[in-house]
Amino acid sequence: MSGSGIAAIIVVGLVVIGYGWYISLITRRNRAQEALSSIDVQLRKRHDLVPNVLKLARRFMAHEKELLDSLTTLRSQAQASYRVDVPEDVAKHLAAEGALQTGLARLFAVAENYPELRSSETIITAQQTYSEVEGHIAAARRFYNSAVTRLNNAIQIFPGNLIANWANVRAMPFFELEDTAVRAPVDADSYLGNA
Amino acid sequence: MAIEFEETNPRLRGFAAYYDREIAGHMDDFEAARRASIWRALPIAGLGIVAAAITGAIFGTGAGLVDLPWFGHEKTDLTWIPLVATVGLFAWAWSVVAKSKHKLKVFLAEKVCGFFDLAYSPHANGFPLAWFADLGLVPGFDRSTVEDHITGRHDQVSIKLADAKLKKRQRSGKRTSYRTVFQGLLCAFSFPKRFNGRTVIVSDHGKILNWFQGLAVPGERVHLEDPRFESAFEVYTSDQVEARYLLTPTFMERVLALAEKYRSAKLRLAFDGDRLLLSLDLRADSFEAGSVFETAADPKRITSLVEDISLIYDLIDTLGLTLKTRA
Repeated sequence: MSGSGIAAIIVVGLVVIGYGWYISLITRRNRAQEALSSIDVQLRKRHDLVPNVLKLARRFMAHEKELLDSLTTLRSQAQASYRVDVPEDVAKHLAAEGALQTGLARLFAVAENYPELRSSETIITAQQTYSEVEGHIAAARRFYNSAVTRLNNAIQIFPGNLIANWANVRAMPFFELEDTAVRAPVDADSYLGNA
Repeated sequence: MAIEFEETNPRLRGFAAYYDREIAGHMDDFEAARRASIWRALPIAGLGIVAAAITGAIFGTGAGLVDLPWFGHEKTDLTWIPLVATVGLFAWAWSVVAKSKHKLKVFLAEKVCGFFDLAYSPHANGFPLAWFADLGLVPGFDRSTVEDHITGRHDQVSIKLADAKLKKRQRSGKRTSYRTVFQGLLCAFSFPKRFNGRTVIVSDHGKILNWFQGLAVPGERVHLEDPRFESAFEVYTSDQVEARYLLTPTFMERVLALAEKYRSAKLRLAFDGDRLLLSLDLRADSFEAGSVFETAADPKRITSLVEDISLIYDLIDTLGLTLKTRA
């Protein structure tokens, strides 16, 4: 076989590999976007829950006005529209959702100090629904993060980085939550007593 | 005959007293029936031995080839007549003892299940075997025997299970034979979470075999983050989010613990139609009550039944199905 024949075979081989990689990148990006939209489906359930919880909380938790108002703000920030193909927008959206979740967790923690609210059947049902919704959101987050891991690996491994750059496929952000319970300062008094 | 049980397992507390009250009193009758059945079967089996000896002799001497005038004086082989008689006599003798064995088994299984507040039926008519087959929880089969149907509740968990033996037809030349492809338990439990989709968990067999397995199991492959779980199982689902809602890290740990506990058995699970379905290929017959040649009150009969039924609770406890948490 002549040198030009071998070169032609190599070029065709490279094109086939490159095209295969391109298909894989696009498939993985679409998968990550699909996973993102499944998070949004679950997040909508959380958004629907917030007004009812706030309405009930306002009746009993007059002293927590600041917390309740911040939740309203966080909800509208989380509901703001964003572009799924712009990683920065996605990161901002996911951060807003993380803040809303932290706020809601704080609300339910503070509600423990209000026996009347705690014993209200509506808040008990709301808390159960909240925990179920959070279970679904956690599941959607795991699906999304798994899809993003697969996408980002394909983008970062050579020649994926070259193809991704050419095809304008960008790495997507992970949906990470701030674990407030872990990050909160430890109250040594509760362990050592006040003596 | 007195029988003693170790009641170290808290679930068996009170079983010795229950045995004395509900079972022991009937054992003399069953023992008499067992002995009578063996005495009835012995002469039949004796005739079978004679028939077998005749068959052997005919084979040895070639006396089975007889010149029959109504077949145009051609030699006709009649060896099959004593052969059929031999098989028939032994089958008859076995059916006589099997009847008394079956009665004893049903009595003991009903009583032992009764102690655990479970209902037992030797027949599993209407057990949804096709459901397990559709989900790929059992291998393809051509013949099935499903028996020992047990139903009931444990805490809030509803239980439905049966013992199944499935066989696949295979041909070699002109001969057709049946190979056992599954022998074990098929269970359906209620699950503390609500779900609508279908998620199936099967063993991992390596990339190539997994690909073939994926053709038989409905749904799309799920990539989970637990590497131990990923190397032990393959998960297929109709809903990626719901699969992760059901398969939390805690639940994956429980499934791994169960697989570790029954390492020699093949474990498959599925979530479908508000139930957790589970198949456990033990390669052994469960809920049997021992040999007909042992006395009716042989303690092994009861202990093996109790062990089999304890396995159901073990499955429920290891998978944490009674827990109210949503983990």
